[in-house]
This record gives sequence, structure tokens and C-alpha cells, in this order.
Amino acid sequence: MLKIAWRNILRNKRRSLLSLVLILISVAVLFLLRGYFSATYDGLELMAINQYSHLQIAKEGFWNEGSEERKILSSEDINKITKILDAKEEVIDYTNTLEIAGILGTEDRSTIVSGMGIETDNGQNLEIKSGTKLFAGDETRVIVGEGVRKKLHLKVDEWVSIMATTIDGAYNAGSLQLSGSFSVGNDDADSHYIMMPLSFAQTMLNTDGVDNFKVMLSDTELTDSTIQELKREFKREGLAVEVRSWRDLANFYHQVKGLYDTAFFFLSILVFILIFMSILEIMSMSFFERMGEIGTIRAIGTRRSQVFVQLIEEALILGIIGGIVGVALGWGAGVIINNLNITYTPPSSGAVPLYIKLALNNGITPFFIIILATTLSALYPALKASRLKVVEMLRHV
Amino acid sequence: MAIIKLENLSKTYSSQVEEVQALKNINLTIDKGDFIVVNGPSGSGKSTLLNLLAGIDEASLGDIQINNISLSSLSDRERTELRRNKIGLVFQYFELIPVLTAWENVEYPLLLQKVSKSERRRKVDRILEQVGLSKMAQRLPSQLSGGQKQRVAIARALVTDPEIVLADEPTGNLDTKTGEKIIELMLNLNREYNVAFVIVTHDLFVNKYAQKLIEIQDGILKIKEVNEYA
Repeated sequence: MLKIAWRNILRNKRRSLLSLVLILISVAVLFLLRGYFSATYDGLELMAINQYSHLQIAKEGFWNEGSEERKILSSEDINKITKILDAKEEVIDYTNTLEIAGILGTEDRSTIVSGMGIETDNGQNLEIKSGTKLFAGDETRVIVGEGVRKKLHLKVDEWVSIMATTIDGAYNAGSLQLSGSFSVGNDDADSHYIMMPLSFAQTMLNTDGVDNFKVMLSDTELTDSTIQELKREFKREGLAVEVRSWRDLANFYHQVKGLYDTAFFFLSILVFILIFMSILEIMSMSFFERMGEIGTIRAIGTRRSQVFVQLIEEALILGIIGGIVGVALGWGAGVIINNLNITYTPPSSGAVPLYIKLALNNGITPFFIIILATTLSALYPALKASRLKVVEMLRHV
Repeated sequence: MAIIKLENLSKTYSSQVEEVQALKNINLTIDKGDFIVVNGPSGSGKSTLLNLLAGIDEASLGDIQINNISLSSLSDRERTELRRNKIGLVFQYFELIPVLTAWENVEYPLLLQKVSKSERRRKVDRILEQVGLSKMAQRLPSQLSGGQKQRVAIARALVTDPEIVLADEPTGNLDTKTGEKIIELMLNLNREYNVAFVIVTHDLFVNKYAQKLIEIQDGILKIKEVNEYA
């Protein structure tokens, strides 16, 4: 039966080739899209981990938006958490941060800023646009978003004033010297983010505590298991803290992923309908042309189910060949696109490279969509062919 | 020994406009090894009779018994099995599977019977030799002449060792000389295998080979003559 199905495909080469081309292009397009979305997810994951680290530890209630009281980890909490983190092999680095909001200004200009006190000996994964990053030992230096620098017309080494309220609600002010400016790849964020030494932020807020621990792990895959272990150990130590992963914290990751997944879903449905309708038409034509032949094989003892299987096999063979070659074609096109080094500029962002992630995983969904579409489209003609009376089919000759 | 019995068989085709009685109260017995020729003008009911015998059409009244089993009592699946194992079919337009070679066309019914590979090879080679097509075995139907195609069709009908071969206008698409050769081939195979043949034909030259000559006119069957082998 398989041999007959295969030879029937070869029998009308032009029609089979047309179906194959349609399937190939559809699979290749879906593969490329999947590869592009996949690369974007990877990029977003990397961006989210850069921004939030693999996991963060903060005082219980820190992430509750309705909380009025500022939740800060005390020095005693910090010591206990540090001890636990130091004993973990998979923890490769951690740092403390303290958020600070206030007004940054010069004699002529000022702007509202959202600042972060950081440990300056820790790597700052930022794109430095001018000057330098913060270095270990810096106590009164600051780096600002490129937008902030432009807004305040700041020059490197220029002194700026910062005004903020302490955690008790009192006003406090200080002076910082500009080390440089940075970009996080988002114009909006660049226009109000600043970073300063943790000790300076603690002085401004009048606290020896921190907001959170940002923890980097040796492997992203270890995030969930490490969180579970840490939760158990913190509970044992009586620490009232919460642990969240980068996935919990990076809303933008879920938003973009959700958007792309929806787009891919609708494109898949479109391709499915396109293939379904085309193969349905082709199979119906093929069945009509071969009605007498099907009648003959039924007459000489082929069961209805065998006729049905044979016609489904024809569609399935087309789907399998189209699926495999389509993924190969998509892979080749992906290699070419990646080598062309194409970039594009999304709104409020810098140029982003158009990169296609080439992985067999990305071919699985397009492959099964095609198999499903071809098989289902052959279902009706195959059922019809197997249900018709033999004598009626023979009369068709 | 009777292998097929037709008892009071009638077939009526109904349309919205009219009813046409294609066969009227037919009674016939076909014995093992019979060589029956059925004549009659177009539309007389010859092909209907053949379709009923093959179990691919259903009688309106009456009964067909094959080896004492009533066809009307069988399901579609059982009738398919019966055709596969007991009946060989030969068509006017040969109806070979165009994507299979002559050898594979003959092999096809054996595949349906799930015959082993070695047995298939033996049977197909033998029957193709008997119909004189051993050298054409690997040709596709499109590479064969009309007479050669009909030989392949006859080989396909006989390869399963059926009890009866039903041939619908087997010479209808062949010139007289080739047609005669085909009928002679059928007669030889009939004698060698003791398989019953029912040949529906317009070609009068076939009549001389008939052991039983039957005429159908307006759905009524008449047995014209019963001869010993010519």
C-alpha cells in the first residue's frame, strides 16, 4: 500500500511538486519565525537575568505593592543570608542593592530620578556611553542614564546634587561626582535611572539595611531548585524573607513572550488553513481522477479501510517529506539571514540584530502542524473514496 | 458441481423519474469449470448480471448463492473477502493499476491475501509465463499493448486460484485477432485450472467457444445452447 501511495505521488509530478512547494515554504516560514521568536526569548531571558539576576531575596512583603512600610533587610538578616549563600556551590556571585528615588540636579537644571545603590566592586552589566562605570572604592561617584546626562547637560567629573527622603521620612541631600553615563537599551529607562555606591544610598536613606540580594547562579536551569533549597534554609534560620526568580520579576519577558506566542499561534492557524484547503483540493481532484481505479482495487478485494489508509498515506508522505525538507530549507535560510548581520530598531530602543536561533526544536511545531493539516485534509476525500459503492466508482470509468 | 446459483434474481434501478428493471426473475446455475458466454444488446442487463455475481451490486429481489452462501447475508467486508478469494475479475478497459508494473499488478491480489513473498514470486512468475508475458513483467501498463494489458488482467484474475472469473467485455477494446487470442487463452486456462468463466461480450466470435451460451434481452435471460467444449 505504501508503495502504491508513493508511486501515486510520483505519478502526477507537477501537482505533487506544487503541494510540496506550498508545504516547504510554509514549514520554512514557520521554522524561521519560531527561530526568530526563540532567539528573542533567549535575548529577553539574558536581559532579564542581567537586570534582575537569577534570583532575588528580600524582606517579606517587599514586592507587595500595597505595603506602606518600606521593607528593608536588616544587618542581622544580611549576615544570616550571606552565610547561607556563601555555603552554596551553585551561587557564583551576589550583590546587595538599595533603591532610592529623588531629585538630581545642577545649579541650572534638575530631574526626578530613580536610583539604585550598588556594590561597586560588582560587575555592572551596562553599556557605558560616556566616562567610566563605578569602581571599587568609589564612595561619592554616580553613573546616570544617557537620557539623564543629556537632560541635565552633564559632563564627566561634574558634581551634582541629589535630594531624597530617608526611610523615616526626613529630607536628606548629598553631592555626587559623575563617573559616566550608560544605556540599558530603553530610552525611557535611560532618562531616569542612576546608580551610586550602596554606602552612599544607605547614608541618604539613613539605614544600614538593603532592599535585596541579587544572586547569580552557575546555571540558569538551577534557579527553581536553588530557590526551593534557600526557602527551606531561610525558614530554618527564622528569616522572614521572600525569594523570587528572574521569571517572577521580569514582567516584560512574559509580556513579550505572550505577544509573540499569540502571533505564532495565529500564523500557525493561517498556515494550517492554507495547507488544509490546498491539500483538500488536490486530494479531492486526485480522488475524482482515480475513482475508476479505486473502484477496481475495491472490486478485486481491497477493503474500504485499506483504500482509506492508502489515500491518507499519500497525504502523510507529502506532509513528512515537506516537513523534513521544509525544516532543512528554513535552516538554510536561517544561516543566510544570520550571516547577513541584519539589524532593526524597535521603538524606544537601539539597533537589535535580526538573529534566527537554529535548533531542531523549533522545527517540531511547524512539522506537526503540517502533518496534521495534510492528514486532516486527506480525511474527507479518503473517507468519501472508501465509502462509495464499488459499482458506482466502476461506472465512472 | 454448482458453485453459483441465481434464484429468481431481479434488479431494478430507481430514479426520481422512472423505474428500470434491468434483470427480471433470473435463474441460473454455474458449475465448476463452466465456460459461459453472455450475449445481449447494450442496456440488456449483461453488466448488471456480472456486477451482481461479483457482489459489487445488490439484487432488488431473489438470491445469489456462492458455494451455498447467500450473498445477501454477507456484510460489505465479507463480500470483499469473497471477491478476494473466490472471484477473479477482468474488465473491458483492463483496469490495471497504472503505477505498478505488470508483475506488481499480478502480485497485488496476493498481497491482499497476505501470501508469503516466496509463494507470491512463484505464483506470479508461473501465471505470467502461462499468459506469455514473462519478458514484459517489469513494464508499466502504459508500456504494454491492449492485448498485453488484458493478459496481465487475466493473470491478475487467476493468480489467486479463484473458483470463477467474471469478464466484462474482455475483447471489447481489442482487435479481432488479439481478441481471439485472449479468448483462447481464457479457454486454455479454464481447462487447465478447471475455473469457471463467465464472459459478457458483444463480440459474436466468442460464441463459438461457449460451453453455455446465454442471451439477455430486456432483462430476461435465455440459455440458447449448451455445448461440449469446442
